[in-house]
Amino acid sequence: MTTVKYAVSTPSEHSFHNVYALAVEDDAGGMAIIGVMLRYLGIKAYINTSGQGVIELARAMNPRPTLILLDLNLPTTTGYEILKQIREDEELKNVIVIAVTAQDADTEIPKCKEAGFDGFIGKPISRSRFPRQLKRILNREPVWETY
Amino acid sequence: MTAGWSIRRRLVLLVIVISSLIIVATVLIILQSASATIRNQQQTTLYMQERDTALRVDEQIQRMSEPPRLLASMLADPALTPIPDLWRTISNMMLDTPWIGRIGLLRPYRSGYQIVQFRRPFPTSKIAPLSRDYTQTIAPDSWYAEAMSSGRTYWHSVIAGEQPHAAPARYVIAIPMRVGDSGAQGLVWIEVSAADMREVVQSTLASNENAAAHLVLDGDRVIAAFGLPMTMTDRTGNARSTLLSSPDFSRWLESLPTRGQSWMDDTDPLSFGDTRAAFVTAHDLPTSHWRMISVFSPSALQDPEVQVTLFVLIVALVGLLILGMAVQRAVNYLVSLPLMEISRAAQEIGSGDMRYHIAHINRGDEVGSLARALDAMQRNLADTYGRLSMYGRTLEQRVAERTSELDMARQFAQNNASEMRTLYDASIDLVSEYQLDVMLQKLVGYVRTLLRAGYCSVWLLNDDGRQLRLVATTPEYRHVVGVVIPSTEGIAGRVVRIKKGMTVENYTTWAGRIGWIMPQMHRAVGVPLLYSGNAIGAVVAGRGPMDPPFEEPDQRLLNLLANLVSPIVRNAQLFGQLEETNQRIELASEVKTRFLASITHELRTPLNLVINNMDFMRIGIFGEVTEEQRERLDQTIRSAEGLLYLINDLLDVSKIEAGEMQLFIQPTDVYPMIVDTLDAAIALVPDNSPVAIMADIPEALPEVPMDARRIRQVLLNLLSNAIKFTEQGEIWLRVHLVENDLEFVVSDTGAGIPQTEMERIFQPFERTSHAREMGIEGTGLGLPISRWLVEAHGGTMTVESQVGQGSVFRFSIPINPPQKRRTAQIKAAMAEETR
Repeated sequence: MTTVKYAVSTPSEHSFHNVYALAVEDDAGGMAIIGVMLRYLGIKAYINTSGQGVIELARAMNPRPTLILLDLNLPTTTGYEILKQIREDEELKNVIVIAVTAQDADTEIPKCKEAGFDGFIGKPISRSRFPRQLKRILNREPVWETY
Repeated sequence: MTAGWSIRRRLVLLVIVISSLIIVATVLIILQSASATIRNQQQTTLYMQERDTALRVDEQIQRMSEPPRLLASMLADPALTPIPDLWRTISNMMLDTPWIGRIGLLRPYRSGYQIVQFRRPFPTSKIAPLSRDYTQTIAPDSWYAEAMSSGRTYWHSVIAGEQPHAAPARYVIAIPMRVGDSGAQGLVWIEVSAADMREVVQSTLASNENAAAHLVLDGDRVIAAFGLPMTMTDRTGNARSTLLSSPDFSRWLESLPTRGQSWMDDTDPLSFGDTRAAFVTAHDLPTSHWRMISVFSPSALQDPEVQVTLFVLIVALVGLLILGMAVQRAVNYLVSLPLMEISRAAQEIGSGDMRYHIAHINRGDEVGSLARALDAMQRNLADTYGRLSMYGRTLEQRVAERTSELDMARQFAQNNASEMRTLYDASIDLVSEYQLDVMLQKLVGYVRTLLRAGYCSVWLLNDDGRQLRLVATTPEYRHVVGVVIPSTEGIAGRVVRIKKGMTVENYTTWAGRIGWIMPQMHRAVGVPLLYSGNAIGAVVAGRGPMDPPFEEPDQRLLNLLANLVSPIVRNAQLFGQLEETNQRIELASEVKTRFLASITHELRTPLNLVINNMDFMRIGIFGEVTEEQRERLDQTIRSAEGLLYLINDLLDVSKIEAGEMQLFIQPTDVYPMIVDTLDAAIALVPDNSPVAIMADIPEALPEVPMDARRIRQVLLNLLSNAIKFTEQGEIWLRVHLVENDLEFVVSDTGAGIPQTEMERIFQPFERTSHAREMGIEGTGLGLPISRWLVEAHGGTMTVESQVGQGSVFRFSIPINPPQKRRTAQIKAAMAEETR
């Protein structure tokens, strides 16, 4: 058995300079948070403020988004609906899609897994944990976590 | 064998035997005389047919002289036809006529003769090869001289070989001619090969199938032979010689009558092969002076005996049939039919018909006397039978009377029994029905059957006891179900009030009648539904005006049924109330769960904003912060986080209490989960705190089935507790594999827990006195939830602590949860099978 001295990791240790993200978030405050968070990590990101036009924006992005962060509860639609559209789109179907929501994790996580999300991060997002969570998601490791 | 046969059959058999003998004798006599005549006639017919054939052959042969005759007429006039013209004509002629082997020409040339011969042209060239020859004289014994001097169509056979009777090698048909004015002699001839000649003859003879063999002879030479076996065999079966060269054949040929005659002979004909010829004819051919001999096998003369025998047999059979049928009819008419009629009469009499008419009484023969005897017997019997039947009738009548009495008694007993049976079945059926509507409908049905009532209705008192509601009735009044009447009205109201049954003979004139519900009801009986002395409703049965009124037993029966169902009705009513309450409770619980879920969402969303914004602010993203500001922010973040934990914990507790907490257990890579938890824990440690978090984690850990999110929650709860209660020192997380468990140990150097409070910390909302005194934030829910989660994984959680020294929390979860593993094995086995 080996003993590991555990140390705190800082954002600088994680490099996200080749990551392009699209976040869908209708709440103004939440929008600001996720924008600041992604910028803080050095990720180039667009934020869509409603469920409408997500596919169009994702297609228009150059380069194409590496990952899409989806709020589940949106004014006129749901994250599940948008995920379905993404998965049916020839160009976008392989993008990593993460549910980011304040809904109850116990009820939503099984539904997200079933729907085909690549991960789940409960709100509020934690600044200290988010970089590692992202790193793991980009490595295609399972991340189904709440605060 | 014939012993059992009827007279008729025996007679028929006898007639058949005798007539057969007569017919056979007749046939034999006829055969003797007819045979010879028929044979002669047949021979004559065959002879005439052969003569026709011979004439046809001769005609054919005569036609062979036409080509040379044509040439002769062509050559006669222009004295010397140039050879090229002649050549073309001859070539064409030879191509058209396949049996011409060669064409020859002898004509005067200068002082001598020229002989030109044309051979058959090759099929490809169409030009006949020719040879020319010249001679001064013609030998007087040559066939040329003979032909020229003959003055007519000259037939000549060219003989080759020494065989005595062999056919000539070829035939010459020559036409003499006079050439030009000088009248010098010339000759045109054609040559026909033996094979071609044979073919020409055969083409005519082929149509004649009467004779077994044909011989065409030129003197003693055989030109053509058809149908004869060409070899003779000796006794050992070896081929000896050809037939034509055999001495027997020669002798036979020599013995034939001289030329120029046609004859037939059956006295000593030729034997050929194994068969002896039956009959021979000969005919001369006038043109070629040849002779045609026809040989007939015995089969050619159809045996007259066979023919006649066949004919006679057929006649005999037909005769026999007719005779047999005639005899049968006669016997039938004379004996069988009368006897059968008498026999039938006897049978009828035997079976009791004393008036049956007996036929043939007036006949004088044996049949007549038999009939008369039978008639006398019939009259005697009829007398006796009449007397007997009189006694019988009296007896019958008595038996019938007694039987009907017995029947009535049995019927009565049966009716009673079946009524009891129905009642029993009804009660079982009613009692075992738990759905009130169905049970009441069944009750209506049974009342109708058992009371023979046209109508039935069941009424129940409302809760306040002031109204009666119709809850069930006969199907034709279904539309009135649900009507409400005051509890004082109608027969139902009356029996409810007096709490016992009553019968109304004429309901239409009864004072308390309600006419609009069941206008057809003329007779009525009603009983109350009683439960512990209180009326809860009533059952009413009714009949139409034509039916008899209800009687005492009907009311008793109705009462019985009512008593049977009233506790069930009461129970059902109570059960219905209970169910309603339950539904209300369930709805409330559901509302609560929904409320909690939505409140959590609504609270988390602003908290997300608050915590994150303050966090960004704290690390200076929105601009410089002073030390004091940072401390304030730290405090605010911590209390906001505390609020968040409280919300999470409350939701968890409510789920646990409602039994809705579900674990999503699946094989999990433990290491990332631990690292992530440590990240979160480290973030909880205040800056510049003299507390270090240390971890001891083996690099190789197996995948462990767990709900990773929940185990992380447990671990983070223990770590955050340790951080909260430790002012300085080290907090260690150690992870071990202990046998079949994965053990997590979180130890701190904090305040510790007094022995007295060890158990209380696992109770909801209980906190240590130290925590309260020090004002350390916390919900008091973290540990109970953690322990519950660990136990739900099939693991355990324990604590050791010493005040002032620190605490050690351990929890372990099984690596192979027994239940899960079994499921997994089953799944693997199934997968194996389906593969």
